Amino acid sequence: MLRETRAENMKLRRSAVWPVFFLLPLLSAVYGTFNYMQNLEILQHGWFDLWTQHTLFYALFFFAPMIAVYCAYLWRLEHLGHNWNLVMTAPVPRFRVYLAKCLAAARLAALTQVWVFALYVLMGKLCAGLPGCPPPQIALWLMRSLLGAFAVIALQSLLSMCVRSFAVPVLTALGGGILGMLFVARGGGTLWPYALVILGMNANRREDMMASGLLSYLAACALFVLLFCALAKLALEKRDVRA
Amino acid sequence: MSALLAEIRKMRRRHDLLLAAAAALFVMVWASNGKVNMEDSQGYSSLFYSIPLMNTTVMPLAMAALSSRIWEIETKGGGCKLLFTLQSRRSVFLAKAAIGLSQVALVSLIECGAVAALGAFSGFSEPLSFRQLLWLGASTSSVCAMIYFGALLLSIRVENLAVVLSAGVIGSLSGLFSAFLPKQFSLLLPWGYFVPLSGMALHWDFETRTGFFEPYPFNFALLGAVIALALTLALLGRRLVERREA
Repeated sequence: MLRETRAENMKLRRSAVWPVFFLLPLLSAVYGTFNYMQNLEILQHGWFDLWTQHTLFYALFFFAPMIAVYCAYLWRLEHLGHNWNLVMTAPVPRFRVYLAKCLAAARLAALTQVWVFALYVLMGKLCAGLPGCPPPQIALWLMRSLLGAFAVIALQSLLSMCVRSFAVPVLTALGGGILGMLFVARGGGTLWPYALVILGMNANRREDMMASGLLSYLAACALFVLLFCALAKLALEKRDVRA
Repeated sequence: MSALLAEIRKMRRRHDLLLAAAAALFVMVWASNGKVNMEDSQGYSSLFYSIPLMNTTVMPLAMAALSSRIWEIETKGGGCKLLFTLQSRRSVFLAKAAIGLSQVALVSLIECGAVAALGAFSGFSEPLSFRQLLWLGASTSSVCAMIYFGALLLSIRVENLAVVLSAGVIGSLSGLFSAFLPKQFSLLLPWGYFVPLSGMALHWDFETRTGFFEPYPFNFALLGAVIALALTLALLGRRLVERREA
């Protein structure tokens, strides 16, 4: 498994996903900080209010498409030429290829959240001039959102595996993210995989949305990951992927 | 004409028109969902206000997806070399541009049609302004065309679809941000031109926490600039195809 994951990580070297990795959270942080500074008379809860502005659109609409770009990029090579035949005949269980891609995407998603946190602290200190350290809950929310991201990764990896187009899974993720926002607004966030990242990051909220529902959130994350992994295993073993 | 027919044949089972229709329908479902009291006296105004905002979020990525898919057909099979021996490079580009414009037109038609249909089904008491409807169609199609040709240019230039789609995601995010920035900043980000071109403004009273919509003067100068930018990007794309190594 380690060997397969290492191979996937090698594909990410100097890849085209790094500009989106750096730029998207940076844009979100710059806008969030700007908005925070413009509304200081309303936003008076320091680090927490800065968090609401940083995650305003990032978690709602763009974290899921970012994950989709990571997954689509990782599957892109397999869809080129006759590479699917190589995957099917390689002396490696096919499902492990899927898992390795999920792990590589998970590593990228984790790095993204670290970058988001670093930007949040930097902007809070240097631009907004906030006193003290950021509350530890924020780091916890970011880590929690990673569990939701695993469900999205499992789904996006499955979509990118089955759909040859690079664009369709990314567009699906944007649609999924927007629907996720509607699910969260109606209190059904744990029923929709894309809503899990919004719930996990506590996007645009000061008070913890998951204060009483952490267990159901964790169960939903685990269930979705298991479901999409099982579907991927089925797709890879029962039906040959069209080259 | 034969180039266009060839392009239509290439599109078979790729469902690109369906993708364009789905993006437009998604915007409409979202816009109608965001409106709490659809039957109120400002139903149409509310839609004319919210659709450009939702277009800003969805369309940059949707247009990047559509334009990358239309060029992907040539690059994926490495068929450019053969294609350029069979038909002129200019006709290849023009046929792809015509297909792209038809997708853009479909998006605008669906959005305008859905506004009228939503009003009829929800029983809006506000009369439908055809000037606003026409303006929505014109502004949506011109901004979508501009973004489409920009993304097509990038697709021809870099070939790696990850770059085009990443630019689409970044365009969507920056466009959405620009909608909430002061006007002079928002004009710096073309992906967000849906909002400055909107013909409806919202006046929000923070004291009473109520708002009302009011028609906003149509910005013909900006519309002209968007069309000019779309044409420039299309010409640059054509030039790139003509000079490109197969």
